[in-house]
Amino acid sequence: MRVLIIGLLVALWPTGAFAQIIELNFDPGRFADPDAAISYIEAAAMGGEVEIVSLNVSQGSAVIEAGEGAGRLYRSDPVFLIVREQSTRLTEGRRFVVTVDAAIPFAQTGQAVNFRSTGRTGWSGERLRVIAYDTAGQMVGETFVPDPRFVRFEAWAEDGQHIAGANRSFVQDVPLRPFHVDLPASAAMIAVFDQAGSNITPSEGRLIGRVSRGFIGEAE
Amino acid sequence: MLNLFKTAFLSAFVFAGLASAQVAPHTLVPIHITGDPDTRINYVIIADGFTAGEQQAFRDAATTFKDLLLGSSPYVRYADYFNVYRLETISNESGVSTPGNVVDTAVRSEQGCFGIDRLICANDQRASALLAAASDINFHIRLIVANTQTYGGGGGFYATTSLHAAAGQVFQHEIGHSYVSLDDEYEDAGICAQQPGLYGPPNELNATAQSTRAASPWATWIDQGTAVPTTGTADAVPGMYEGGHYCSTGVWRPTFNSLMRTLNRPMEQINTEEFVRQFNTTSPGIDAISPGATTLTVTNNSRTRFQVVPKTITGQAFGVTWRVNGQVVLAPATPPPGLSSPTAADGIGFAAENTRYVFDGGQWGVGQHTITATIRDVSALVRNDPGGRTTTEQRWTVTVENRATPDARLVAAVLPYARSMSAFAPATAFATVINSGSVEAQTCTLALQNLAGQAATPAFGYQQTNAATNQPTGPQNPTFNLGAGAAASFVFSATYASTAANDEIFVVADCANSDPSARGAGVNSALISAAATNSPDIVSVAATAPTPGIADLPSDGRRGAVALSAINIGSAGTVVLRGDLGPVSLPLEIEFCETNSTTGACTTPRALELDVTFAQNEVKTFAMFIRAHGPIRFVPERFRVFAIFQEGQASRGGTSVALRTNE
Repeated sequence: MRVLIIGLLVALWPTGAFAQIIELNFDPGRFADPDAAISYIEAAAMGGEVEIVSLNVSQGSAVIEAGEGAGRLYRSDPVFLIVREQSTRLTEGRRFVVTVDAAIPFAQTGQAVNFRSTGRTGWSGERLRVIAYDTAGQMVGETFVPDPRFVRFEAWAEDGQHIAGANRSFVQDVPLRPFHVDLPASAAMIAVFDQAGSNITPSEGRLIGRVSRGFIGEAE
Repeated sequence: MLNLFKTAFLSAFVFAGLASAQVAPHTLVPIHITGDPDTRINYVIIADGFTAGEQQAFRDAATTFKDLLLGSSPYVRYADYFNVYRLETISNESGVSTPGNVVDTAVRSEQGCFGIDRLICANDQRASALLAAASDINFHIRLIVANTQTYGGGGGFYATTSLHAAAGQVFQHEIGHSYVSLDDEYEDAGICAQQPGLYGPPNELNATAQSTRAASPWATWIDQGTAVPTTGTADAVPGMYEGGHYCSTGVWRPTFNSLMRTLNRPMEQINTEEFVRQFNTTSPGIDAISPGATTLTVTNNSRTRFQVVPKTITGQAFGVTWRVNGQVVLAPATPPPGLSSPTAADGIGFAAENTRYVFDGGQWGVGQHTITATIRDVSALVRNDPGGRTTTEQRWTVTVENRATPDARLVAAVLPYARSMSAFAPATAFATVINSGSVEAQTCTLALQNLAGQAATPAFGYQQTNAATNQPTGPQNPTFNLGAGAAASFVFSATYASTAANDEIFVVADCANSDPSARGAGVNSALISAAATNSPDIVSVAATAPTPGIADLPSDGRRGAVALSAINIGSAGTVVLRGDLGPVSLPLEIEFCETNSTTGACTTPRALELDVTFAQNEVKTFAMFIRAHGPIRFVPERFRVFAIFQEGQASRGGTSVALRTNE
């Protein structure tokens, strides 16, 4: 959606669809007209949604709303002489090791990461769903990690074609071994769901553990 | 402190006679190493059903499976993102289990599991226990090779395959599921009837319920001349092809026939795009940074150098865009293709530019500033990246204080780098302090600090020495002055009252009219182990040519060499000589051999680690071979390579040199 509006920034911010307001500055002579500038700004978002809040080609300035990660994309392009994020939802993350059944089930490994929530894609049952909560019980992140118990079979004919009906998947009924997961650094408690029993159609999954963060053995 | 535990990428691990009955004897062998496993996509190939006498057959197979993956698109362009390991396991019996016929193998793989003849299932408990015992590396791609010539395999967390020539093709398809979450693109009426919808409607990565060009999730890949819906059968023509995700109607796929639809096919554009995004997500494009601390305080007349080491693709590194408070301050001379200058086809061919930026505190003024270094894998392989996954960024927060750096400026250095003390005897070493400022440094003292800049544990004493003779002169723990441009040398002692292992301590000089000298691992630090018992104590030095103290490495993948000499002034013992990079990650391989002290020729095979037995007062010489897989800038206080003599987990000696690549 292309909207050229001056002065409605406060009214437009925040909206649910976008993670950040970004102020862009470019060489005033860089674009011949607003359409050229808009086209370039949209292309630089690499398929991400962008809403132009304001644009002044002669002054070389624009304010946009864009999704998480857009700031990095714009900063990687020196055409944008200034990139300032007025708000951000970027989350400081940490790598944790999770043990569903243990005295210290959920410990930080010391590795800093930029946590980004991920949605479940691909084969149902393949991934564990991990939801993180902070000390106040607020959900602070959701991510999906491979389930080490998952087995898949697909059969192929000699010409490389799939053999009809030969497609099966299983989650082995064995204890879950410790696994690594990236979560917001503020994570204090997590819930782990698997997709066992729902290999054909997706579901919220089966709760297989709800564990709190431990501090023994943490390494910075 | 040196990361003495993160040696997996340099080492082969041998475990035998393990306590757990389920963990077979095994050896993890790196076969393609490009950097710290924390920054790489780690691919492990696991043996199952190979007895002690059949290990060579597995090694050959592992090489084949390594080349199968890294030699094919899209992996080949990103080979420097991968570390590959083979996990040699010794099975009691040869072969693979079948239903009703258990073969005693390391992972207890079974062919014909779940009643499916061609399916090979691994015992994931055994496989996970093996990997956990072998190393702490996070493996992203896991392949178990069963010792059978019968066609078979499977997917999932552990992909399985056999030695059958055609089995490997299945593995490549399965990675499309397990590593990048692609859907199957083939049609199967039975499965479609069970689950007519997509998993995450309306769009998956390579399947959609949308039917129009405008609504297509891969619309940017569809040429205007391509009809939608698309009915052609040509390769590599993105469009909207009806049929996919098991259903022949109501679902659209992006290309006519990709590897996710039929074996022995290319991945094609849309699937490849996700691989590239995921490569960059798993293995971000910045390998190392300097300063390591991301929050700094500087003075208003200071100049601070910031640096990143970008990854390389086919020998070329990414360009870097630097900003202060969002404002461009340094950018590649040629803007990356696809941005303002869409000329190059594939992002290959521009060298690393602007890997360093010098922040001038006076220019930016008192207050808080944000410095960012942003790099991007610019590739024609990616047109959609709304999450910015092909972009990597490093951010520092710098506070400029309203004060000037004093005119007296101190730097300090320590030799030897490592000592190992028996019976809690004082560890002694030499320190040199230089005043590089323009005025005399006054009322100076030395102090011993730990890594955090706090007072170190051991009792500390120092005395000035004659720089020519090393003889102590003057009082204990003196306060001294140091003229502009002058140097002073000292001997110091650090005495421990309790056991210490690998305690890194820093000799820091401070004067009334200066800031304290900076701490730099391997520069003004010493790595100390101390115990009541006797141990080897190996004093070592390194020699480099043509520049003393600096290993100049070829940037084309050839090895550089450093000469080492070591004397054991402690008790006799056997130690392991190994390489270490300290707290940073660099794209390096380090190997050693023992040398003839007269000719310098290797007398042992080159290896990642050497077992070395020292008699008391014995002198030995070694060569350290270093190969760089990417550019390494000259940051001697941070980018160094350490040669460590280690007994168990305790250091017994060591030395270091700075390093850089020639570009």
